Amino acid sequence: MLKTLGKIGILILIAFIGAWFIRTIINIPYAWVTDRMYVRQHQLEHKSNFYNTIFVGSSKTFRGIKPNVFDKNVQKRDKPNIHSLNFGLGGATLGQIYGLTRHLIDNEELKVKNIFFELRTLQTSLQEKAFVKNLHTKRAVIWMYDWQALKFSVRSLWGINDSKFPFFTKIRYTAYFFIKYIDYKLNIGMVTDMLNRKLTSPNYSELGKRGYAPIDYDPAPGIKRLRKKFKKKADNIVKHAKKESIRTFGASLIPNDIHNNEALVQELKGLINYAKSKKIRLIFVAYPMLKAHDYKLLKPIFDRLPSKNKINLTNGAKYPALYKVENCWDDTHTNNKGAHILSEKLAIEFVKLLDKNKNNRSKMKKQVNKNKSK
Amino acid sequence: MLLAASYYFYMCWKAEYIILILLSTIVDYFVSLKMASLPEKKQRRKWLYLSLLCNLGLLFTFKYFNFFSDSVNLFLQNFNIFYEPFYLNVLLPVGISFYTFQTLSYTIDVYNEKVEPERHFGYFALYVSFFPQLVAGPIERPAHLLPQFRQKFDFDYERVVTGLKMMAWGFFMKLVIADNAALVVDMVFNSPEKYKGLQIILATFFFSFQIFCDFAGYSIIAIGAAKVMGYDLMLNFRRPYFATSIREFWQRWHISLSTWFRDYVYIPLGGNRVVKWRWYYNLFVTFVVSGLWHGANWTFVIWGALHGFYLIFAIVTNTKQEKIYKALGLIKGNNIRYWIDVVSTFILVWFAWIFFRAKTVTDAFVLIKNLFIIKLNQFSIDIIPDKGAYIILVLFFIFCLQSIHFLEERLKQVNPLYHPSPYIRWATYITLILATLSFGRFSSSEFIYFRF
Repeated sequence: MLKTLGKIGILILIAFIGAWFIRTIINIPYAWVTDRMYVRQHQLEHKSNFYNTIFVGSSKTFRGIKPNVFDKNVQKRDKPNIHSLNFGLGGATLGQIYGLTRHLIDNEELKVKNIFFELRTLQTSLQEKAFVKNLHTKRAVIWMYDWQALKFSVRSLWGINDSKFPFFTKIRYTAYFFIKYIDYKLNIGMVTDMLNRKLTSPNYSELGKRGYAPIDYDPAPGIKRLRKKFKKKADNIVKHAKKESIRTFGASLIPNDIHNNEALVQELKGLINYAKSKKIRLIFVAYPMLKAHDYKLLKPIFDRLPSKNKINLTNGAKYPALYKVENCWDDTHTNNKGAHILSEKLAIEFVKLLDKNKNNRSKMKKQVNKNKSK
Repeated sequence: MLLAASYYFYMCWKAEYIILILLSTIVDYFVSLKMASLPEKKQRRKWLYLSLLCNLGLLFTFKYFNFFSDSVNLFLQNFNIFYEPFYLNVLLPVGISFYTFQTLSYTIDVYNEKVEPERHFGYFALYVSFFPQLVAGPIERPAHLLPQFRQKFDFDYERVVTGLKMMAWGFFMKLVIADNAALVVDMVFNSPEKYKGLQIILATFFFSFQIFCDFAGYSIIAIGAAKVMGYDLMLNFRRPYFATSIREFWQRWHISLSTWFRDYVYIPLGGNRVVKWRWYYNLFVTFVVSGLWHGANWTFVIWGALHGFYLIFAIVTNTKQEKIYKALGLIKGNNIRYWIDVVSTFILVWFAWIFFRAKTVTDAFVLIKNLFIIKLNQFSIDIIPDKGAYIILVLFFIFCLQSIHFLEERLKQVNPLYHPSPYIRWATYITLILATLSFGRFSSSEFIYFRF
């Protein structure tokens, strides 16, 4: 028995070394996992002097932010040097958005100045049925690619204060995270796709308008199905979401909120500092039209992030246009018209944030000078 | 414990369908005991009919009812009789064709007094549901498997290692060759009107290996898993694409099923000990039924009929073929003759796979029509758009697989996994593991839709 186990151990070790060797030889950037990401990455690298702002997130970002509209609205407010690209990835979880952001921060070839990070709830990513089905898929490449990514996922998981995540559930998810990590380290099921990507040129039809593609014109049956389902109860869904948004995001910070996840907050703050060390401004955005339960899960996390690194577009009282049925595609996505409004609002808030930070900096400078003269 | 594991394994897919296995097990257990107590064959016959009715009834209801209903409706439309056909809204239970045939072989053997009935219900239930071979065979015979359940096993290093090697080989065939080939095959066969000439030739060639590696791979995993636990299952595939005739192909392809049809359909029909026309009829019927066993669609019936036709044609023209070969100086045992036979057999099998894989008979004929439209620009790596790497890799791995089969078949060498030299063995282990992990496909699709 020991002899068999010893030999299996040696084989596993060799498999790790061999997988590392294969990955080193093929040497292809992470964005190969989807056509859309690959073409955006290609665009970013080829126009690295042009693009300086990137939106990272899930389909909410991908279907909700129009870079052209955003740029125009920022530029007309005396910030002419903003050129953005939408890097939203359908179905991206918080961990994947974190991974994507770190890939972008680490890419020395890019000249990115601002990254907009879509803040999602961690719990949304942890739906077991979908999670298990997504094990051994290529997504490990954008997520569990190093210890830092693994640490983010495990730490933030254990920071959840939610009765739906008891001890043994956390143990199970920790095991899943390690499986994902091993998937990446052993290139499980990835090399054929990597090679195929090397042999094929980027498909520019996937780029859309600077990474944005309106959901309204997508022929995918799944998307049409969601629309149909939404239309049946659209008024109620939107009304309820608006009410929840005002109840939570319209209120001030509740200390000792039970839904706070301090470990996650610390990880996100760490990411802000990491981006800062590379001279990149990281801005967390809370978008409108969340699932009803998500408002109260997201609020405590959002509140604890530094004010100069966050934008709140969630509050239905402040942004009533984002909670109108005619601007929504389904219960979580904006339609083309809604995306226009959302991009405009984000641009306005971004300019405000820049001005506020600038004022703060000059106030601080004055204070320092004052102290010095004293 | 094995029985509980087997039931759990089956219930992981759809728990309620365990009732079907239990029903089949209970009926056949009591029917066999009853038959054993009756001395006259005539008396036993009605109990055999009960077993046949129960097992084939289940198979018909869950697998063939909708096909039957649809076919009757289509037939009646020819006589201007129109009505809304009745369909059963049920999922096809996994492995139903395999375990019903396995239990049928048991009751028929008990009826013919070839085996003694198993009096221990647990052992019999395990025979019906033994998990390694429950969902895709090999279809075991009672005389081979049942006695093994009574044996006691200790840990045997050699046996366990052999089982693990078989499993590794099976996983390589399934995950690396079959699942990668499927990407190309699905593209072409799902939109047959879009593809022409070489694209269809390549996709059907890939399908020939997809189905072989999928099925043989699963069988080897099942045999390996059983071996690790101490049980021997029968060999199911023996390098079928090195067959020199269609007859030989069926001696190498899905052996447990072909022998089942030989013993329980072909021979009871009279086999070859009848007048010629009846012999041909027996062969043809056996192959048509075998085609229908593979799936409830006319495409499978045509596939089976085509193989039946190949076989009858080979018998009828055998003397003439031999004369031609003799005139050309190609006697049996000659290398050129061997390769002509292997290649021509493969081409016949390859052509028949078009019917097996096509979704409808119309699709199959569209593919056959387009097969001959060969254009010069098809001779490139982009023969199937965006699938260049898959094509190269699958071709490479098919070459590796066939080379190993060639070594075993012609040069009588052992598979490198069992080579006496530890260096060759270990190099093979490492290559196999790395190839499976790196090139294997571990998920058919991602649950979260990328299009969002």
